[in-house]
Amino acid sequence: MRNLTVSPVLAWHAKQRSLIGLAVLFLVFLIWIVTTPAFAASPGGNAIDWMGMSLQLFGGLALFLFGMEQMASSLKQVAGERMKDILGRLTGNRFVGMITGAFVTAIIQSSSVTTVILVGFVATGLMSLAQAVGVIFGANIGTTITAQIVAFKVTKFALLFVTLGFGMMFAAKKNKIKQYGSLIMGLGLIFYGMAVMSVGMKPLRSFEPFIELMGSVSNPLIGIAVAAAFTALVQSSSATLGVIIALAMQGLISLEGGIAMALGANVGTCVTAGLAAIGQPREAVRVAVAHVLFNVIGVLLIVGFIPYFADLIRSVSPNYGDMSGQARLAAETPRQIANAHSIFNAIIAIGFMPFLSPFARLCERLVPDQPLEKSLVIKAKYLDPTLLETPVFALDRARFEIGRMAGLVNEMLKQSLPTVMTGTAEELEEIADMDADVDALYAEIIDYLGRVSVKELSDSETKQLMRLFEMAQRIEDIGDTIETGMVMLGLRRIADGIVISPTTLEKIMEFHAQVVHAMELTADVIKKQDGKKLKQVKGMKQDIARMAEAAARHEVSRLTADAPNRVNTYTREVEIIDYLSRIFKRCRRVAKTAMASA
Amino acid sequence: MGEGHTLGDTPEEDRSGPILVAIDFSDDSEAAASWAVKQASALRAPLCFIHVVHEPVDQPGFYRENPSDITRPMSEVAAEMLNKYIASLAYNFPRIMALKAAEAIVVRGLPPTRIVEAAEKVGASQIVMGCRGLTGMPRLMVGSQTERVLQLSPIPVTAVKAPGKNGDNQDA
Repeated sequence: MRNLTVSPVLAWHAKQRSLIGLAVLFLVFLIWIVTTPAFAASPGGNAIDWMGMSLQLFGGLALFLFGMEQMASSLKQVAGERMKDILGRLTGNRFVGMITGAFVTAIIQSSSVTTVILVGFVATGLMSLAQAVGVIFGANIGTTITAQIVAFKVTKFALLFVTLGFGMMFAAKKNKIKQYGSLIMGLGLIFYGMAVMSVGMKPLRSFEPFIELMGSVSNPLIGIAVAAAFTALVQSSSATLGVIIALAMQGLISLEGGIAMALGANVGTCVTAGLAAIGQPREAVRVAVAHVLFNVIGVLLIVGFIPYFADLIRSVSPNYGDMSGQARLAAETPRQIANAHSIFNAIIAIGFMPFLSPFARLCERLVPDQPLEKSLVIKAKYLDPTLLETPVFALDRARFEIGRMAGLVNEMLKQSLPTVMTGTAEELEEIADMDADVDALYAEIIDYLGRVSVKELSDSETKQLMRLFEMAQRIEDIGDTIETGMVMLGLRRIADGIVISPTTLEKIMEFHAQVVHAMELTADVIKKQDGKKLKQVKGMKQDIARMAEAAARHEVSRLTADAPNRVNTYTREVEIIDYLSRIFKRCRRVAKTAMASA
Repeated sequence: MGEGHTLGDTPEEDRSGPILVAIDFSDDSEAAASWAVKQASALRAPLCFIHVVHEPVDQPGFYRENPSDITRPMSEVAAEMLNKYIASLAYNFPRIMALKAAEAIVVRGLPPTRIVEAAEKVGASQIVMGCRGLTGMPRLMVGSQTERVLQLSPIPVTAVKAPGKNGDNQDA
């Protein structure tokens, strides 16, 4: 299966960003406390151990995030591929798409991951914006499951989960059981992180300035902004909900304030998909824009009605009328916030469904296409399906197309060396991208030849068919050598900071020009079956060998010189010569095969 | 079939440029294709078919009718659909030479702008496309791709409706 995996680099960056975000938050929090006079001592004279509290708060958050990471990674191991498969398959209908989005997100515990997967699917053309939008709506519902779980007062079982999970990981022989153990331990760590945060914040219950501060967070706009910034920094709306619910467990936050902050978490979570869409095709950028728009519009629709929404939530959530004051808040609010989060996201997602078409069109309008050049798909020009019935013509057409493919590879070869020697990483990437066209053409040629092969063929036609297969394969190999081998050399040159000396550059360029010429001749041999040109290619063998030897000798003489980084430079330059020699050899074989079928 | 032009060519002021036929596999675009084939034959003009890979918002899974296509990029599936389409046209119009040398283009993007851009690239003499004849709410919601092409295109555009259809067609 192609392109169905989220890049490990992307995953690592996301993790790194969470850690950096957490560190930044910790520092900002410490500086804020140290520099705010109101926090230096409480009015009642009860000194608060800020350092200890900060450590508990951020240590708890770190445990929470670590637990989520562990649980998500075990879930991915146990069910990840299946989840991606489900995402790819069950999105033919917008409602099924929404339910799939909710289900998959609930399993992988992160709407950001779902959206990042969608961005990847859309970027590679495996899914359309129309399909992705329904899934995004559903992902917002699925993500509320984490808040629902943590709002159950299961923190007292946290260490039981950790012990049980660790026991399974330690004792089990089967990898699957170990993964389930890791999953349970991850869940335990989430609960334990919650408990640590909650206990850490206990002193704040009687700390006037903090209670006033939380009063101001009840102003929805401040609540939304704070939670959005926090979520964007830690890259997890579940973590924000975790902190909000931990505050609520101590009765430090009202339901209205909690709802505002949960809305902020919805907005902040869009940052991750936004980052994943940078540098992607426009279709993928539209997915990220759809994610942002959906969440922002949802929040704007409800922000003026938070008190009424809070009343609705109170009426449907468990009620502890026998309690009062902070104790009652502490008992009721965590569940109410989790319910508000779930109900709000479900209402908005279902409410948006009838407007899915105009919504998708709005995203398309906001992100117009790039100019045509970049999105052309190369198409076979000569492979006429109507000629399949007359194999002799069909084989001829295939030969033309292979000649065209050789021309494309030669264009790639022409541009590759100057870029490998002196170009930037972006220019190298463009060279690698050119191979996609070669691959597309190759696939069409092979498919066409495959269809010819099932027809009734004479002996000579069968032989010609085999030769065409071989030629296409070898030319595709040359394309791959440039895409992976040469481009990689260029990237390593940049990474090692190698500067190629002008004399070496000249020698290798001269050698390269010869190989390009050989490739040009080969394309002609294929298309025109020109015997003279084949002779020329064959005759180049000695010259090429001589030039390769001269270049190699020059390299050795430079190795003894006192140049900086000379061993690395030598290795890269010798590798370039080696790749060019290999390309020439393949070229010669192709030209010979092409003439053999004449 | 000769070398023809490639998409990388600079656009030429050429009145004998190909007729660009936009295909979305609807009945209307089939009618447009038939009309364009006859036109190409009468004018001795080359034919160029374009399909813009853009899943209709109201038809998610448009390129996924065959379950085995699910893991293939949509452009790949679309290219196959377009090739088959041209082959079936060639079968229906066996005497039209322009069809045997027809060029096929598959691009990703938004249909109206892509069609006009491609017309410029291939130096098309005219654009032929189907016209769905939407009215009322669907027209307001979906808009008309043909109308948009008409607004954007500097060359003549011919809109063709499938036979037997009238303006009250609600098929979006």
